[in-house]
Amino acid sequence: MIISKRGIRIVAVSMSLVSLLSTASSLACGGDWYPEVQIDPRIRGVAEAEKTLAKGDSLAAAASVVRMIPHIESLQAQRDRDPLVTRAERVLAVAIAREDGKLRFEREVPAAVLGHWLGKSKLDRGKNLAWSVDTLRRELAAEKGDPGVMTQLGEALSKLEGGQDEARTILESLAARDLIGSPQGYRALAELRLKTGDEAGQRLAIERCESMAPRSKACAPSTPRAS
Amino acid sequence: MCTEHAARELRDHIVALKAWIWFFPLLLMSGLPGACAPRRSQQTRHERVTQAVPATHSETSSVTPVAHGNAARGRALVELFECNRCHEGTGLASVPLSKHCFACHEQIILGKFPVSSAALARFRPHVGSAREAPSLTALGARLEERWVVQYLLEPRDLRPRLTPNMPRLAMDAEQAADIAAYLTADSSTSVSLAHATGNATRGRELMEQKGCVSCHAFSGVREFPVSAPPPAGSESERAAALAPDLRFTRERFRRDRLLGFLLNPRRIKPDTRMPNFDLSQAEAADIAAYVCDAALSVQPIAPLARLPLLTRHVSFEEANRRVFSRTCHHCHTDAQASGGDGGPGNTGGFGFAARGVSFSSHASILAGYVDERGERRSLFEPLSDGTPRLVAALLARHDEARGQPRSSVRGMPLGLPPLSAEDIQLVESWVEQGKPL
Repeated sequence: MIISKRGIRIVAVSMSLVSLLSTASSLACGGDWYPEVQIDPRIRGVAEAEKTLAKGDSLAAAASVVRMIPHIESLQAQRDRDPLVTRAERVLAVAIAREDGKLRFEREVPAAVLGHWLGKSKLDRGKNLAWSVDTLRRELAAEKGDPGVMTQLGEALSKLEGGQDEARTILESLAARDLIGSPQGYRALAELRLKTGDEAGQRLAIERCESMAPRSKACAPSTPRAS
Repeated sequence: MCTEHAARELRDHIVALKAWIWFFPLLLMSGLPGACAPRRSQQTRHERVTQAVPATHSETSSVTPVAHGNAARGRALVELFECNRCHEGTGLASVPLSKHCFACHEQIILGKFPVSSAALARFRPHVGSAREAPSLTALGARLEERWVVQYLLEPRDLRPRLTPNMPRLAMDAEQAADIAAYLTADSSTSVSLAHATGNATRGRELMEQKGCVSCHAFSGVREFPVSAPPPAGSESERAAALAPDLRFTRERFRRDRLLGFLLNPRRIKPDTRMPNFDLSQAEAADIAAYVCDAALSVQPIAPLARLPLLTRHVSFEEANRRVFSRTCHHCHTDAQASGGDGGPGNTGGFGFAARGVSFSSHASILAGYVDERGERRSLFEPLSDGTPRLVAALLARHDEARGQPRSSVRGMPLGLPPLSAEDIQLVESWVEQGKPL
């Protein structure tokens, strides 16, 4: 089929007219042009989730993250480019560890979205805790040994099957330098010490936990670990 | 070998002899009065100097004098310590807005800093104290090099109307001498009027007439009649902000340079805010005589009276609100959250290595600092006397303000006035209670 030059011109002019006339947005109306700014709601959302976690409500913090970024587990490629994803992952990882691998907030987020985060089976709970440990290890490498992340990794390892020895090494090393970054870190250490029969050490760790979080339940004994 | 040894000894002796020939006249001259030191034998003194008192707060200095520095090394050190982040007149290029101590603050206060309005509102309460720093233009044309060395090592509050922002930087005496040599290298605009002698009593009268103390404080002398302060927002008010306490002038200035400065301030320092009072040479000499020779009373600063630990509960929220976020956060913050570089106390700057200290959250404070070996250590680690490091730093700032810096602990907040006894009590109590959330 041969298309004449005139035909090409007509098609080109028509397409231009169509594209101009069919602009849905009328930002140019009224004489002033203004840019359409899209604010990423995750910026505030992740910051709020971090605050909620710091206040001790790990379940609410995790729910907030999953609601905002339900596909967070699949965002591996974005992790390095988007610090928000990294921060959200850290909140979720810590919350999972503190909730023993079970994120029971079906009322807030549909169970279909939650999937294995619900931790209904032993397998799911183990998988969740393994994800938590992996995430925190990656974060620790990026943060060059930050004691806050190290404390959280210690917490997560203490809940993971086979992770207790490493957790004890990490937390004891931090405790010796007064660098445990949260009451939950001291609670995890207390439980690890008790498991090896170090009752005096357990009491000391609980005292430190209670002095750091005098009016919260953070130092109460946790539910049995996923096994 | 013996011949070589003898020849070397002979050469050494000749060098020593030459040095002696060169330095003998200097030794003789060193017995002469300094330019701003009282020359009692030459002056007709109507106002008797009752007591020769140094003008420093501590009345003594722990600084060991060092030899004249190397100006070339000094320039490199001025770059290392980033003096141009706060001061004009360093001979270095201007720094970007985000790195400038005061231009940045000014923009924040005026609401022009390129961040969201919420961030501006968050920053604004924290930047009011640091508004400007004196220009270092023509330092050599005015100031004593040895005083500059001493000031670099032990900064003190010179300008009563300005928050004392000059930090005690991590420099040794040799580095301070090199920097002083660089900054005072250009003394070509000095006006030599060393032989002019003045009448201190007339000098005081002139100071009252000219209203010098409406801008300058002159602590330690008999009180001046109260002058009206400069009108708010006026050029005079801006000038007064940088006006030094004249108590220190006798150590800072050489008299010949002081005279030249009084006669025509802008000829000596083109960017000075000091107005030209069209003084005659005799009037300038009289004022210089009073400024340099008036009797000063000793003004010791009492050591901090520490308060006992609080028995009530102190939460992180309270300590953070009253101290950490108000003071420490400025230099020790989280780069990601603040939108900046984390501050010199976190990511390094002003010659300080990156210490990784962040006061942006409870967890970040508990994460401590990175020591010289790159290892994390607690901010609450007890020192040899049992005082937690953080509390010791807050107390050390009081010692620095009294002119008695501790060599082992750098006072904090760096470049800000010491915390009140109540604030230190609060922090100490929070630490003692186990750093509760």
